[in-house]
Amino acid sequence: MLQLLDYDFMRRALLAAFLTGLAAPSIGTYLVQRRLALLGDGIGHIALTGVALGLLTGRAPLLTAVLVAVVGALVIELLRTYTGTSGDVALALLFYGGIAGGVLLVGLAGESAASLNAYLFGAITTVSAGDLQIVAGLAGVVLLLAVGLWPQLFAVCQDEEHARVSGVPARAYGLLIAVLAAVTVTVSMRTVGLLLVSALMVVPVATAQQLTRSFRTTFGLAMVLGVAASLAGVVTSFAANTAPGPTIVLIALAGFAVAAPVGALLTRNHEGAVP
Amino acid sequence: MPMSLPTALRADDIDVSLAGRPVVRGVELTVRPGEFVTLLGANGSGKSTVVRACVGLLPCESGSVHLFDTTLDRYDRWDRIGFVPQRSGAASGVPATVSEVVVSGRLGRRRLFGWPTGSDRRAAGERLAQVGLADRATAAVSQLSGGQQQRVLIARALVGDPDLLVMDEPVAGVDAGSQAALAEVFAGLVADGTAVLLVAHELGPLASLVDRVVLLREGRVAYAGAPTGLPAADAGDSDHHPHGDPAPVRPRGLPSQGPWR
Ligand SMILES: Nc1ncnc2c1ncn2[C@@H]1O[C@H](COP(=O)(O)OP(=O)(O)OP(=O)(O)O)[C@@H](O)[C@H]1O
Ligand SMILES: [Mg+2]
Repeated sequence: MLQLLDYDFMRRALLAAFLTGLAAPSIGTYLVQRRLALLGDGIGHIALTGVALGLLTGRAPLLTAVLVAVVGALVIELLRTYTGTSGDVALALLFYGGIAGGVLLVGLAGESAASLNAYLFGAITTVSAGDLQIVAGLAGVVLLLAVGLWPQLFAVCQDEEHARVSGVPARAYGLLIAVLAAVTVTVSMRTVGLLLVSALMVVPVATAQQLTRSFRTTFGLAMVLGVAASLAGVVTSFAANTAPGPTIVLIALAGFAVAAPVGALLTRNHEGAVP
Repeated sequence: MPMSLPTALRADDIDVSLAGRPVVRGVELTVRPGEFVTLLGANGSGKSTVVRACVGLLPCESGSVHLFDTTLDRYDRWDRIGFVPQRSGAASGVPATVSEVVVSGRLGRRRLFGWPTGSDRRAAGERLAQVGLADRATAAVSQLSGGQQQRVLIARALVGDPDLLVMDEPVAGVDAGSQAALAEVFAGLVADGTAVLLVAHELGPLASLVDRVVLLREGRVAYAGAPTGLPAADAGDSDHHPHGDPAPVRPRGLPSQGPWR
């Protein structure tokens, strides 16, 4: 297995997978806590428009995707807070706008919609050294804020009104979560692809909470599971010659399939659950 | 009323609208340090709206709110305020322990990037003991009963040692024994100078603590003063309880007819 590390592209792929596996569940935990598990999907669709914009203007798609995804995430959060649009309707608007915009712009760029495939399903083995730098920088920011600000973010997601009366600027934190989710989506774009990005944000959290009772353990365990699934996915896809993105997601789902019955048993025996 | 006395909470002639409809009109409310004030009224009379406007969750259309003699928009000592929202539970999409939820009540006194400390957790343990949940600190909050979750929210409001405690129906669904224990806790706080604003339907064991009552009817103050002076004829429309408890506990010294019913 160690011969994997002889290949430059493989070293970069594993590093990218590690960073994504760590960052995606960290922000995903807050999304699940706010019952916005599908927000990552919505942002993924919007990011597609960003990618197409990059192709159209000849700029790095990763950067245009970050910008457009951040704007889209801010719009959805503002829609939710100020117009009372429910989360799922606001999400639906993002889904449609994002896909339509992406395909339209790619057409304008004179490329076929197939050129979006690398972004839709990921192309981790084509990550360049430059890509890796951007991914590492963005993942670092997401992790620093998601871990460092957990008391504030936990309080805002647990009970927004109480957080506001504690002097926490809850609306600003809501926007921060949306922005971090958007950044995470674009970070994960090369690893698992925009269509499966949300799986890496949500599935490790869902798996972890089968086994846990506290927020902190859920948070930590989700990140461990995210890293494990990402690395195992890259290695497996290399050995079995399968597509990396879907392999990572299926391994994460397999983890859930194992954890769910174990969690049910733990709950039945009550004492057993990890604190 | 002499304005020189310090107030913990003062609402002057506030109007609040929800979705374009005036819901609260011309409400006056004062709570002084060491005073226990109860806000009464039927469902939909505007109690929660008043409370939410007083802690800055809703904007006032006119009038003003002062917390510790500072206007609401300039107020920044949120660590002095304990708040229990009207709520049906304390659970969210991700598991959290009782202790984690209670510790989050000390956020007002923590710096950015400051994680909970041992003293935060000790304070949470003490408050949990006061609400009778000491043995459930590491339980998942979602696995507690409704009344127990309500007590977790009370502990969360108390854990920051607030000088003003604002509670919107905190004892809804809490059994009589636990209410009696809470009454003792609140009595101790009030004796130490904490100001309390409580929204309630049935006061039960808390009745003996009440210094002053403000009764709302259709968004206006219908009565404000000593509990003994409550208009007796209000039983019908002021506080009709949907569950129709057969024998609600009545505060001492109150007429048998009245909003207590
Ligand atoms: N989000 C809202 N939009 C529009 N109107 C609202 C909204 N929430 C409450 N209202 C209206 O405001 C009025 C006051 O509501 P409020 O929640 O303050 O009543 P309450 O006295 O706390 O009642 P309860 O005893 O049921 O808690 C009600 O008539 C209600 O119909
Ligand atoms: Mg209410």
